[in-house]
Amino acid sequence: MNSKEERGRITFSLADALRLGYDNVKRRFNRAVLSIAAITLGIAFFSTLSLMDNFFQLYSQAEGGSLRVESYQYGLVLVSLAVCIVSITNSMLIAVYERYREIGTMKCLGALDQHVLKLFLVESVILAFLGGILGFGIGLVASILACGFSIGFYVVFELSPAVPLVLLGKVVLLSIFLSTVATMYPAYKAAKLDPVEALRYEI
Amino acid sequence: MHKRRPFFLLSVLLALSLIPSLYYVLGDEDITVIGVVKESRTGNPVPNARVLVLMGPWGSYSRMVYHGRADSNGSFTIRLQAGSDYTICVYYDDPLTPGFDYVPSMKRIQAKPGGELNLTFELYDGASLFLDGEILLVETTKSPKPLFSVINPESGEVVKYDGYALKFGELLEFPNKYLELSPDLIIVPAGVPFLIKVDSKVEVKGQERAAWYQGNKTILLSFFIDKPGHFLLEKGEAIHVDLTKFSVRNGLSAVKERASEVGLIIKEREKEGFYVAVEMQRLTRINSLILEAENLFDQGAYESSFARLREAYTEIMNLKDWLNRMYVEALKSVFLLAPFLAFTAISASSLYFEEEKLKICAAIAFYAFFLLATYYLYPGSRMLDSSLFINASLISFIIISGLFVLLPKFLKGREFRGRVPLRNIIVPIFSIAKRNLRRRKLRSVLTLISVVILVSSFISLTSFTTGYGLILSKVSEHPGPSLGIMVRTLKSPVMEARAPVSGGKGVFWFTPLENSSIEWLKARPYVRLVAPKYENTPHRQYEYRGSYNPLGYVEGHPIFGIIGIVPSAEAEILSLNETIVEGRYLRDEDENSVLISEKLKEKLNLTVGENLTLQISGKRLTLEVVGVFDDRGFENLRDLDGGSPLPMKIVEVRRTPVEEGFDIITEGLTPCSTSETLVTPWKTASKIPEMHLSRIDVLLEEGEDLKEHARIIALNKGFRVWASTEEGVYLARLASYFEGKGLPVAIPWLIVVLNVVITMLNSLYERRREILIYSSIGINPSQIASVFLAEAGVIGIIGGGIGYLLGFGWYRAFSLMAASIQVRQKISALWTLAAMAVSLAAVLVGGLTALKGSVIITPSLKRRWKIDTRAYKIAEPFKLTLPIWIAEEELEEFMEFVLEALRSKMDDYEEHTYVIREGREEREDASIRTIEFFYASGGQMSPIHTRNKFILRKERKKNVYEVILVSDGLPEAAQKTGSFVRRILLEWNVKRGKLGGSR
Repeated sequence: MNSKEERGRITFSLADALRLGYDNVKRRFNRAVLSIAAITLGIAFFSTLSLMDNFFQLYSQAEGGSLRVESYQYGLVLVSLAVCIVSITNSMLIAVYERYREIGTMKCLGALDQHVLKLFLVESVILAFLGGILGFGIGLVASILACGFSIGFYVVFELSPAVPLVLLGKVVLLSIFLSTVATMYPAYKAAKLDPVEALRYEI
Repeated sequence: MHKRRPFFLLSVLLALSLIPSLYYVLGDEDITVIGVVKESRTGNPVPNARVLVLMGPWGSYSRMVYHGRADSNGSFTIRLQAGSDYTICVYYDDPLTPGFDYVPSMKRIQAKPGGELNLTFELYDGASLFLDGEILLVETTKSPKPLFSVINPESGEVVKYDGYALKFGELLEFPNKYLELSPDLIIVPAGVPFLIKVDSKVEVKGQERAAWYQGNKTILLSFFIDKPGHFLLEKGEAIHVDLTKFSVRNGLSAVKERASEVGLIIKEREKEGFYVAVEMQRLTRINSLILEAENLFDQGAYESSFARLREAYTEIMNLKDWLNRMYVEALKSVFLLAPFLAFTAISASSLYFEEEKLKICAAIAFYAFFLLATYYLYPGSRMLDSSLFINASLISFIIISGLFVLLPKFLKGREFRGRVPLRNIIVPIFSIAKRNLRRRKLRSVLTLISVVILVSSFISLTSFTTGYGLILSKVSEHPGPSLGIMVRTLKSPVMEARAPVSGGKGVFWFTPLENSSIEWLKARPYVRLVAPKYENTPHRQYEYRGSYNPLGYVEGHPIFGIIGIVPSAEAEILSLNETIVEGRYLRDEDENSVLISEKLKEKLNLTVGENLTLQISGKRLTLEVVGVFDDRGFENLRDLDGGSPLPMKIVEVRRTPVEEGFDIITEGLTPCSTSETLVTPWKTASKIPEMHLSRIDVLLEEGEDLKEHARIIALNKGFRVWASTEEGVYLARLASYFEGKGLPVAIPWLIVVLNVVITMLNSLYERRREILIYSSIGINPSQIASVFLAEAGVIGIIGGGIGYLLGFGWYRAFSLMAASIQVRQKISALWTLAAMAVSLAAVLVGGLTALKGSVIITPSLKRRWKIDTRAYKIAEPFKLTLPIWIAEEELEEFMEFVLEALRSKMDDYEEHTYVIREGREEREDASIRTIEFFYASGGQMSPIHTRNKFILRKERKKNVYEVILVSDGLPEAAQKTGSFVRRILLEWNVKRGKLGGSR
């Protein structure tokens, strides 16, 4: 652990947290892929519907009528995101259980609760960021294909580029928010671990 | 004189033979009717009135025996044969007035022999009412056979004169054909108010009443032709009324009435606790259709108005049917829901508690909670009598509890060679699974939550609807040869039929259109050109049951298709004339002319202008070849539906022998080739047997909306209508449809699967020691896997049950929040099975994926192994412990199996064994069996060789042999040998499993 001692205080920088978080993602790559896939699916669904709604509005303005994404579909988006939160929480809890000894060692070396908390949150932000970007990409392609084949590709080209860019920002923030909320409890649990108990723990 | 004698005798005989006839005519068997025709109002005689006598009562089946006129004094005398009943009708129309001047007077007489009968006919003032247009009934697309009755508005009774009711139509008092009157004419009384009642008996297609209803039903539909203050006409006046207008007006009020009826039912259902957002939305759509219909009616666009009404009507019928079924389903489903909830409650209590008493108490508590939730959330439970609901719940609980107690006792089988059958360990497996779930409570709860959310969303956010109505779909991206519409009534696609079913002669793949359809289309104001096409029913091109049966022959050459066309119309629509390469194109006035293809011309060696003889169904027709068309050009022609205009023939697709001499033949339809097809003018085609009106192409006036007219025709007449527009070809038809919403539920489903995979993979990793312990006590990999699957299954079952209830909670929440989520409520309790399926599928797919991905326990991944190359030392063999134990009683069989497997590879090129030796050694502490063998692989290109010893060793205290492979060779060679031996062991495991299973 790259921590620095400054006048008897242990510091744990964001860069350290990012590096450690990245290492953890790499080390447990398979599970990280599954977690990212869950976030990607939820975000892709949300992005698809949001973009399709924009395309439909453009189409309705041009051709008349009132084509909209049906309300129940947004219900399903909410469900997907809820399931996604549960899935991330579960995954992070598993990560905490797996790393009991590691957390114990860190704490024995002087890591504070907030350092552990930061480490898990950063890891979840990395997963969320990747999932958000991927999900948006898939959603963009899916919405273009779905709208193109149903109402015509010309609508796609009429959409202002600002709309998908703003949406990209929104979905990345949303996925980070969801992931952070989902990781709160596991991270808190990890942070509050008694180092003695943690070192005694055997898988 | 002598010469004239025979002639004289013949005359006498003839005269004598006529005597009886004269007696019959002039004698007492006749009756003389003397009639006087008077005007009822003045009493003045009506000169030259027409007199009509029918034998029997008035009607279509009566025989007309006299038709004449009264004299200038209004008198007439007729002689009728006695012994029969007659109906005498007297009527008069002054040709100078536009309408009928008198209502016909009728009298029925019984002609008794002898004497005279004096009759006075009083003619009442009359007028004419002409009925224009057609009757359009929202209930059906079929043309009705109407009965028109003249009604007295005060009494509401049918107006009668001389006991005869003023009713017009077939088989009735005034069939216009006897009076030589127009069928559209109704003779009505003058100077008195009246209205017309129209009664129609129509056959309504089952599906138009309810999507699931297959049969047809005949119903009587009535409406009035009326106006404010009723009709009041002067003598001899004639007016025209538009039947279409009055029938549509009637349809409008009928549909409005039904819509409000359905609105009341929806409100009732809402009060009962059903979630009716979709139903409300459909009612809104119905009301907007009615509003549109009203506007169009006011503008005089009756047909368009009617099309909207038809659409609204089919929607209403679907909706009404669903609302009624909703109620019944909800009532029935309570009896299925109770056991389902009992099962969920007992499963949940069994998961959380170990002690029996606690389990029972918790099960009761859970069940009570579930029942309360059901009572609050599920409308059917409140509609049911409460004592019945409680009794059903109690009985369900007792039965399901009994099953939970008794079932484990039956799950016991006999052991085989020390191996425990799977069913013996079902109960322990679930017990272990439960404990594991409890041990990892938080993770289990989180997985359960995700499953519950998934199932509840499946229940509340997906929707499946069936119905019957207008479907407009794009069938081709490319427009047809012209912009227009095509009408035909295809049977449901008979693209494949089994030979015994399709019968001997041929199949209709279209329902012939009636010729009246042509007139109907021509009468539409928006239609510019109508082009009917005739074609034959398809014939088999192959020999069927020993007979070859084409449509006909031309000079011995088989013909399978004939098309009858209106030449000028087809030239405009299909550009058929452009395919002519020799001679000329057909003319509308042509008769007995024919176009043939170039190929047929060559085959028959005919020239233009020559005659050919068409033999068809025993008839011979001589046709003159006026032109020859290009085969390729004709084949490339496309009709307005985007398909080929060539008639169809039946071909053999597949022949499956069933028994000797009997094959099942799968047939298909394909367009006839041009060399088997003749093209004739429609007049010629109508003389040929088996030719039917199959399709009508229609070109519309410029600027008309093709899709809209396709919709109108499909709705009004029930045809399938193709609209060839610039954007492509659309098909409008009335048909059953299925609408599914909520396919994206697959996304949360996938996320749940991923969640289960993560949890399970971790669980497998965490519990690797536990797995090793299971293995060491003889539990095989599939049994270990089943522990994990049981864990997933328990979560799936409980999640499915709770998710289903929560789904109903969502409906309630939507209602309370007045949220309009456009999903149809899943009323039927059968959805519980679907909920279970969704939840179990998610957890089991996740579980199996995790198990497959793991190398810890999965038997099929036994092959995925690696030797530890760090243990490699030159001149020292690898010692590999193999993952199998062999029971004492299995030993001989196992040895034999392995030896045989090794020997079977002795002649193999890729992978072969040699010098196989069996050995045995008995030591103090152990019993040892060995097989020594050499193994080679890789062919000549990259050969590897190992010297191996396969050792089975049993400690004296134990009763199982452990298996070791000692392989001498390079690491890659030892790895390959190890894999080879593991494969043999896997095969043995499979064989052993089968043996165990057979007991």
